[in-house]
Amino acid sequence: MTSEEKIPAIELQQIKKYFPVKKGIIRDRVVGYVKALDGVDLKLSANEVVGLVGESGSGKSTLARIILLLEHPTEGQLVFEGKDVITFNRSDLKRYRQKIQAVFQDPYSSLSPRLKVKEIIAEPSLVTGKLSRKEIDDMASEYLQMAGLHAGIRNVYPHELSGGQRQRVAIGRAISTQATVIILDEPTSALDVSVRLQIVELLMRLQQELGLSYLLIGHDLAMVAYMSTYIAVMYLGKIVELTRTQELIKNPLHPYTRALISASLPSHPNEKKERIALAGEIANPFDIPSGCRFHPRCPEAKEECYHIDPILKPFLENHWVACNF
Amino acid sequence: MGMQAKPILEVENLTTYFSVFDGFEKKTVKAVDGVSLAVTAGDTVAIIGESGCGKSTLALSILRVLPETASILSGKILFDGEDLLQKDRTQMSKIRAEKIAMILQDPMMSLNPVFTIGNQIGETLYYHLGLRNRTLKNRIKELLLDVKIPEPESRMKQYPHEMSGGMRQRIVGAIALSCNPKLIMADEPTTNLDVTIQLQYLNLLRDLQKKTGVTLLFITHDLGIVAEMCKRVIVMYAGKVVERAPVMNIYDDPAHPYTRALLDAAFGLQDLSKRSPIKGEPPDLSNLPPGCHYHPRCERHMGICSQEEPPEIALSPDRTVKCWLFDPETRKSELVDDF
Repeated sequence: MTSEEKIPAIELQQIKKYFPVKKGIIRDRVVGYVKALDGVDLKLSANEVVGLVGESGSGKSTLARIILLLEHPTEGQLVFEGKDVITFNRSDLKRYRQKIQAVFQDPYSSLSPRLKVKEIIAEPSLVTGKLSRKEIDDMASEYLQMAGLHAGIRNVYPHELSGGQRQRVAIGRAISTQATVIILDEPTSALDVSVRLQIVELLMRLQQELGLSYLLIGHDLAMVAYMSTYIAVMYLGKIVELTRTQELIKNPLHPYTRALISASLPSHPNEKKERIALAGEIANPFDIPSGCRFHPRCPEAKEECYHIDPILKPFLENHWVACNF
Repeated sequence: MGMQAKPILEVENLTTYFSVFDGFEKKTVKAVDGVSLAVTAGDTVAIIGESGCGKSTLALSILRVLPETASILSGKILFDGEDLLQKDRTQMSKIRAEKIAMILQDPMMSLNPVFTIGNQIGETLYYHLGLRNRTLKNRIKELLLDVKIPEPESRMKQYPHEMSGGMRQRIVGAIALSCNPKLIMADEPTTNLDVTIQLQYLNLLRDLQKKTGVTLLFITHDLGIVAEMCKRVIVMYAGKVVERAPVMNIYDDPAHPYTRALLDAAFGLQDLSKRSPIKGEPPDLSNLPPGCHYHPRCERHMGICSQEEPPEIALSPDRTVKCWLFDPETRKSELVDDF
């Protein structure tokens, strides 16, 4: 739902994901659903970074898993290059998986400890074709260098590398298949402060050089804002606000976005700001509040909010918000 | 540090080394290397630095709960006028229960999954304050209300897994407060919490401090928490204190190049301009570079930096920096530009 002219690389249309909750010992009985995603529309255009922020339990990671085809949506369409992914045949899917790659939060668990670095980098390409040893070597060296590592480490195992180096290997693997879209799920939260910015800089450089699209998932609003052109704010399985980064920070419209911004910590002790301390915690997605799902915590909730579930609609140009006011 | 105010905690020249065997040879990891600091009663102080700079080992040394591979080689830890390094096990356990409390990063690790919340909060009250039955129960309820947990009666019968992350961390806070400690050390207390919950928790700590006058020592790498909460800052690098100053000085005019680099690398919502990363990675504490340990990563290192360790230089009565750039002699001989 970003700029209109560009063809979106990926488009999500009314994506819903309900996980059934079962009870019973002999015969499982579905007693309800955890509504992880409850109708999400999002467009990710070519060469663009879209940030996705929200508290834990807001459904950000489920969204990433759906795009990576690790989960099937309960409802809604996932459209890639103008075609619904559900209609894809085997070779289409292979191509899709090459074009959409991911970098995960924890480089300690996302790299196989049994594979050498070069095998890790070549693995996605080996799925689609045979490579000779020489080709694997060359390929690993090339992508390691692109990720800012020395080509010499292609022969070591991940346990010999530091966290920052591992995350660079994960990034090298993600770009090794000529991907156009990379899903970044909290790419820096497992890293140390000094290394964090190095990885962010690397990701931004690669995005520019290779013309990649990123879907950046994070809970650190300042980091997401630093990297993204657009930001979508999620709350309990829905996008509540979507606009350009600058606009979101200067002119947040949804009360939840305002609370998120006001809760972020200052970068100088003199930076005094109006603080909106939200009461309570995010609701259980098994039992989503009626009407606007944010109303139990909303400082501005009114009568209507108890009954009417607001939809995401354009409020200003390029600024969507889901709020009754 | 304030000249008249009495420090509640004084660490003098503390040295804690780990000896580890890595399969080939014995190595000495210099986690804390000659650290001195003083914390005034009622103050809020931050110890900042990257992971592996020794800040957590420092806290563990103060509580004397180091793993077996570590030992305190020298130094003094004066708490409330008494040297903690002279205490025996029983005395230390009393101090840990009644005077110094610690809040760790992951509440799921610090809470015991098989005991109820009430049981865990009540433990110190039972053994150290001798509370029983009704009084014990009432005190537990009071503590739960203090950390803003509603319906304490039913909550105290629950287990940690039945609560959210923010609530668990508040339970840890309640345990820390149970015996009215004089000092609370909080090691990355909010890293696992969402931003809105983080703010709730920091506000809670601030309120509790106002109420009880407890001294707070934050151990963190998050400069946001420092700006939000703290009055004084101690910057550590590779086991040593490299700068100590009031919080305003740190943000307005950082002296040590490392402090400056940390600030330049931090993200802020108000300023989305280009940030500059710190070069390289923290050094291996068992194989430290000679001279100033920061020199291989330092933007402004000079000849002397790789040869001799810089002294601690006082910039003002409450501010010191450990860097050759501030040594008048060196400035002359190395022709340092104004910094």
